[in-house]
Amino acid sequence: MKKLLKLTCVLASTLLIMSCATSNYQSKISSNKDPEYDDVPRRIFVVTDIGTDFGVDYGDSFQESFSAKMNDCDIKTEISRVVINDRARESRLAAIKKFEPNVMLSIMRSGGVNYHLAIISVTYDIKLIDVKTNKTIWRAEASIEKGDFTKIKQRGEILARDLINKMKADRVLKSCTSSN
Amino acid sequence: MGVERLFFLGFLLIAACCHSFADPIKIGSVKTSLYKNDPHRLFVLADFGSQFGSEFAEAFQGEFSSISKDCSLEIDVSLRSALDLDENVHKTKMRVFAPDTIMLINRHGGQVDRLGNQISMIYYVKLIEEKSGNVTWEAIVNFPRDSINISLGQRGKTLAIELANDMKNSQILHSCKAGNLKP
Repeated sequence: MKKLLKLTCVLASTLLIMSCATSNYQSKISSNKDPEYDDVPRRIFVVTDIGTDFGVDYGDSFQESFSAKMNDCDIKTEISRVVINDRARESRLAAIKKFEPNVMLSIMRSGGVNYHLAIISVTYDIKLIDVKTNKTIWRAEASIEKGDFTKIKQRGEILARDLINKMKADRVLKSCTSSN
Repeated sequence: MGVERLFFLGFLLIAACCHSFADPIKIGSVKTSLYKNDPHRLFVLADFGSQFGSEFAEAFQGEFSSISKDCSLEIDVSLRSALDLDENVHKTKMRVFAPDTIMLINRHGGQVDRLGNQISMIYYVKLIEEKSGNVTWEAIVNFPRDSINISLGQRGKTLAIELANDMKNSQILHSCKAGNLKP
């Protein structure tokens, strides 16, 4: 009985924290661009572990939204999702070779906030790497809160939207003329 | 005694209590049996993360460098950033500086409050002898943010002072004639 009461308290506090912490659904992104980079990304291969944090729905909505928005910018993308106990390294390398990207985008979880067993926010380390020179041409740190778990798909779309808007603002996606 | 005066005295009392009950920085450290010589040229590679911002990191850099110079220690502090485009830049700096000892400071977790504000950080600090690669001293630093009335720059300086004091107390800087500083 005591255990049940404790668990209820923990769940109630988690929900309270989530509701308090998500007054606005936006990601926070800070970034840094190589001023010498003057090329235009046309084919981007994305490697990311998005979805291992807030779940598959969140990862899927990010993937769909990111690809669709990039398509609007006339940029071809292929997204390879890294999962827990990932064993797809070889097939990923083959996919990269086949896709022939001119830039690689790595979006990997680098931190965040846990409350007991729940992840309530995540931080991503984001690197855009020029394939020709193998140099990082743009780097960003993005944080997003989980918030209301019934709207988790929205979080994926918001992250994709904010990330692309930041890349446009930093003039990384110079060819993209679609509105934010 | 007027009501305003009573209020003022009450305010001072509360402020004093809050100040005295602020969590202190807690450092647990151990000097390993592999420690042989005092550092003479120390390269510090610090990754404080972005939680407390550049003001905090730069204040630490300035204060720790100044304390080390008072201890006749040649020092170079390199700050890693989550937005570094070239991560090899620190290795290059280190090679050019040619240290005999390397200090690594890395984040090791922390706590946030209900609004998501960072209220404390845990830093893992390691001292490595460059020649052998041996870890000669290790520390876990539990670092509270403290009151928001205290600037992050001030907190960065406090961390530098407390860390240097612990190193002196651990007999890491034998040659240091300067005594412990007050944070």
